[in-house]
Amino acid sequence: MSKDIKIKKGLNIRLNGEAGKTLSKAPRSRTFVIRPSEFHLITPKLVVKEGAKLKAGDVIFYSKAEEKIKFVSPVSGIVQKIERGAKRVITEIVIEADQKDDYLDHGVASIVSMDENEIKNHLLATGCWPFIKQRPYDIIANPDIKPKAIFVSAFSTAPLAADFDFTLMGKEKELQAAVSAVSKLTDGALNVGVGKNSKSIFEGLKDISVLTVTGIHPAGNVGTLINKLDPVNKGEVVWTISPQDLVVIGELLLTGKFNAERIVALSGSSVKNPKYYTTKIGSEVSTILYTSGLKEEHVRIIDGNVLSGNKITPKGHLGYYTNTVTVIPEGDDYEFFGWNKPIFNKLSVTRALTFSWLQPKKKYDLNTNTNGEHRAFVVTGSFEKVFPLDILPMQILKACKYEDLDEMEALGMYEVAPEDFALTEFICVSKQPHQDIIRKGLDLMYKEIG
Amino acid sequence: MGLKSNLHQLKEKYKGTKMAPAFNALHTFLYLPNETTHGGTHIKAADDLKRTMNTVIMALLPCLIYGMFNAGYQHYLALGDIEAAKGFFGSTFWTWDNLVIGMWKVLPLVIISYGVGLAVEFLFAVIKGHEVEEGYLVTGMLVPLIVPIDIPLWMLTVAVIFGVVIGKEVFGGTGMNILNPALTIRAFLFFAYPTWMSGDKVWVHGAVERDQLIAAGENLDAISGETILGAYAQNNSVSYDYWDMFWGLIPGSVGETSKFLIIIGALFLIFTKIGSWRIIVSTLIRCPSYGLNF
Repeated sequence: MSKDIKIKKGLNIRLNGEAGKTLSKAPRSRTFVIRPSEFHLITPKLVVKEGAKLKAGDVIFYSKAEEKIKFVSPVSGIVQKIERGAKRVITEIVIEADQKDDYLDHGVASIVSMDENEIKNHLLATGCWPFIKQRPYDIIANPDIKPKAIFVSAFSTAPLAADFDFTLMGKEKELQAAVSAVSKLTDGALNVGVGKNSKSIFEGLKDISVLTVTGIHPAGNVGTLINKLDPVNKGEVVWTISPQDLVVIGELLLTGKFNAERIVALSGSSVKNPKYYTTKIGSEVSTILYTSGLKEEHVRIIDGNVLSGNKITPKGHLGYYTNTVTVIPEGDDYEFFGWNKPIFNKLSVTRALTFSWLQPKKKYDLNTNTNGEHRAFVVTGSFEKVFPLDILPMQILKACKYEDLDEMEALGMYEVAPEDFALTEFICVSKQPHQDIIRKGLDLMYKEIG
Repeated sequence: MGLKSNLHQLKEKYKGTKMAPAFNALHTFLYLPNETTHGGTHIKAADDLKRTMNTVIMALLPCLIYGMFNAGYQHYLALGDIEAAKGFFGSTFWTWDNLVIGMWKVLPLVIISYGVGLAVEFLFAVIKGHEVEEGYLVTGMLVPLIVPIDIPLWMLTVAVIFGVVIGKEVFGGTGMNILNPALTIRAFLFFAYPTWMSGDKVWVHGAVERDQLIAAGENLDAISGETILGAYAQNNSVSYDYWDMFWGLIPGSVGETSKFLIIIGALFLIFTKIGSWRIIVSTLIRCPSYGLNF
């Protein structure tokens, strides 16, 4: 059974530096880092101290609010340091890795005979739960609420993002195990979005409902699938999982080991040799940066894609959910009369002396310059042209800014995530931080409504 | 580059001070700033608010230039110095003499509009500590186009201050206003100084002055420069044909007369995707339908 979803509103941002379809093994990282801030709204409660010896899969901390949700070490090694920031908030847990991983063995799970609760408890105990996120609020799923459906998007449309068809190659067994198990956690369907013209690995799997997606970005965002197929109303919950995390879950179920290995695309116009690497969650990003080489010194390293990733330093580490690292030039320079001269080398959705409409297939070298200053929202009517969700983007952003919970609810706040607003943020002439506004709005709702 | 680094140092020096918004507003006219993204999207599209507003100004410029020629043309035509032009490219229209009169009368309106309006904007930006927003760039260009040619400059000054403060700044500035500042200015003028905003004397440069001379006892012919609507209202015959109206060879506010150039401007805005054809078309449909109701 497959359903078709067609996305017309949106924007494909074509950038130079797409990762070549070759795979290398990244050098083993010396240290690994877990940043609790990546698990939004989770307050970590540590169970290890500095100097503790860990196996891969050993619990490092759990969520203070929901003790069942555990977070485990991606490698075996010694807890080198626990970095704290303001108010003693834990910012980083640094693990000095052993040369070779020693895994904690959870035992092979017999997926067929396990029921819903057994699977849930197994995923919670083994540290796989943080891979499952929920809408509303775009946070780690609450294990006590049964979702009406689960969504996975295996169609990558974000600029320079890793191609799932490539990174999931050969992982049929793991994915099948994961989807068979996870699909028991909902009464609804486990919906997987795949690109129409791609040969997705998911099309041959059981226990899922395949959605055939065509169109431009954000067709590959899981939020787009949810909105088009099964919107989230008040009181409803859907879960989302990324395909690469399904591989980790699948391997754990099949072998009993929490193997944090994943294939990461290193891309961007500042990378000499953009390609794919096999590495692990929390690795030093320098291990892949220096293997591929950089074209220039003054760059922005992004853990994630250019639209919704996080800025990291060259000494930084891969995030928990990342499958893309993008490196683009920094843009902290002035441009003479940059606001009114004709522009050929930057992307634009208008034709206001910007000429990107002449070459729709051209690939760009965009830098991090904002191309203008932060201004108040002005109604331009352009957001709606790149925003396929059945939601009014300007209105919901403003509702978040003036913190009107009733209005946010009425406008559909339950089903959005910050990444859904990445394109409107990209084209915003007022250079407003849309994703940040939505994140704060969601946090406010979570606090007030829960 | 010398200028670039000097300005950069000045910007750093003013950072955090009260004058920073005023300096930054001038600085960004010369240079696209060196700001980079922090979180969220790491890349941004090429358009900013300045470019958006600037595109609207480009669409208005033909109307402004035409308005200057028309000001002189209507003046000399009313004096009887020149023949009526035949069509848009009429030989008596695009003349140096017409332009001189037009520039002499229209440029002060532009200067007052921008000078006073931006002064108010800068003042509010400095007081409230936000950056100067670009919304006024368009308002400042619209204002000279929608007022009669002979309007006294002090009236325009008062109106612009009123319009920017009441029409926009009290609501929080660009993007928060519920009124259009340019139309607020026009409405203020209409209700505050009706004798200067209607009738048959204000649309042609020199008509009011001529009336005053006649009243003083000089033996001169009065200049009549009523608009077409004015003529219909008084049941006078209209001496212009439809092509004159289309090309804009008629009396009226500075930039309103040439339908031809207004349509070109509108098409330009729609083409550049800055303007929305839906809003333009719905306004065109709505206006007559409201008019026919009353």
